[in-house]
Amino acid sequence: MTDDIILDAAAQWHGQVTASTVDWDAFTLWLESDPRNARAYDAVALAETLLDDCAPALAVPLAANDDMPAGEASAPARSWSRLATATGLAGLLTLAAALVLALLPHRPGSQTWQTGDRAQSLAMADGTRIALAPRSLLTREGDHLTLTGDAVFAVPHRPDRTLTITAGELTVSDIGTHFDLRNDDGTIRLTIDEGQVRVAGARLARALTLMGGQALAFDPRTAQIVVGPARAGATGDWQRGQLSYRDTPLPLVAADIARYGRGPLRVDDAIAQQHFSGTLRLGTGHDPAQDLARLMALDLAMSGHGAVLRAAHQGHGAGSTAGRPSD
Amino acid sequence: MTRYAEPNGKQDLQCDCAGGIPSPCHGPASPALHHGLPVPDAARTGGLRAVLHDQRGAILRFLAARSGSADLAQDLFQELWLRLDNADQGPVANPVAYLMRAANNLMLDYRRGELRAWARDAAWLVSDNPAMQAPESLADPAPAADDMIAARQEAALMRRAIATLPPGARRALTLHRFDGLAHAEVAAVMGISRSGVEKHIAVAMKHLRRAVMDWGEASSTASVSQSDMQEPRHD
Repeated sequence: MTDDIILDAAAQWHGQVTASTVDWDAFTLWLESDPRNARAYDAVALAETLLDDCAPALAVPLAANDDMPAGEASAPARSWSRLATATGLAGLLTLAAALVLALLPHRPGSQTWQTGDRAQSLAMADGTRIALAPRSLLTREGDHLTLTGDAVFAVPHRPDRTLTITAGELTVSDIGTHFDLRNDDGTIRLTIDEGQVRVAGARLARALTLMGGQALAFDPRTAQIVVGPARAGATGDWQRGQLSYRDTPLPLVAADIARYGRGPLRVDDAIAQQHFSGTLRLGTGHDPAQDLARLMALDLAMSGHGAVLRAAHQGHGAGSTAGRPSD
Repeated sequence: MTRYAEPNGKQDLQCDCAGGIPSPCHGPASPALHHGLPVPDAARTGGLRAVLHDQRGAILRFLAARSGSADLAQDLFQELWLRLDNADQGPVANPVAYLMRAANNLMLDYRRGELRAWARDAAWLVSDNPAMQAPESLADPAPAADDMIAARQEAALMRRAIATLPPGARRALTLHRFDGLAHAEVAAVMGISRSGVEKHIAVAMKHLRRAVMDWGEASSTASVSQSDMQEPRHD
């Protein structure tokens, strides 16, 4: 269609103007050659500007179909559920409803978000984005967040604001970064993708500063904290339909599987000291609990309250302490 | 004659004037308007104003082509002159390109203003979204509140346009532009190839540009009829 051709040409001119490579003489001649060209150029440039400027306001209703007028919501909702089936869990996670944490500094009171089987993405007015994992709880009072479960944070650094996040005994502050924070009954795991954060706690001798590429694990029973290199791509790996571990205690792996997999999973005390390294896949056609059992040569048994991982009785030998990604 | 290019034609534009009008000259301002035309004063010879004066023909021609109106081009040129006057600036590597860019930004601001005025007057938008009827914003006529309403109306327009995108294009656009994911990450989340993501986003952008173009038609028509209505009547 003619309009499309003009719009494509206008987009090319806009790209050159933006990149400061435009020949203004040639641009003027193009504009003069057809009165529709200037309109098309306006449309291209304004579409970019509006997308950028409206992003904070738009992030919400885009994902939350129920925010749209009824006539518009039904068709996308149907296609989205089809899409969800097609793409499995990774799709489902990002299809979750989004909310805005209206960052109104003077408003008292707290807000709470709790997820069930699905993740939820939250967008704050200041540009902070949070992907709250399934079966997780996040509360907010002013600039203070409290997390139980798992969430991936993308927080723009702003010196005028002191966002802090409490997870169990630890408090994360001085944030300008992208990171994944997990709190499983007080056991804290923190993986920094970019930027840096400060971590403090009552039982820590001093506050720690963690940089991008570092990971932290805190065990509440011993108050031991371990800082090491992060696995590449580990931040928010659940969003990509997988869970990756390096030398991670089995109970933590089981807690993740319970969150992202098919319900409660307990680890028998006899093997609670074992560690796992490897990648488990989530979503349609994958049972991470069974995969874990197979990788580590353990038994997966069903009990009243879900599944239990325990040492294999016969024929398998001792449980391995390391697995490999299975495909 | 038109002469847009830098004399040596080789310098790169160093300035960053994305936010509207850049600020090129030093020193106190004393605008010398002559028959409505800016004339550079002696102190500024060699400054941006001198360039603006020198390039008046080319910039006016550009603005006329951009705006589709010789009158509007004159108005915008005056605006450009005045803004240079108020600006406090450092050296500019390529003054002609700098001024063209500034003129282009002025024109975009003008179109956006038209769009905002039109959107604000469009009752269907307000009734469309309850969140936009926040009483405090409607009651307060202060400029800040006005801007807020305008911003909401713009967001409402974009929301409607995005709501009608094909699902894949909408999802890719949302993940990329609003969730800040790179193309490769969008591809991973959606379970499609990178080139698939690029196609989705191209479709989305094409769709949005068409929508904005339609609004542009509507808003410029609306502003014309509005100015017709404001013509004084002599009975």
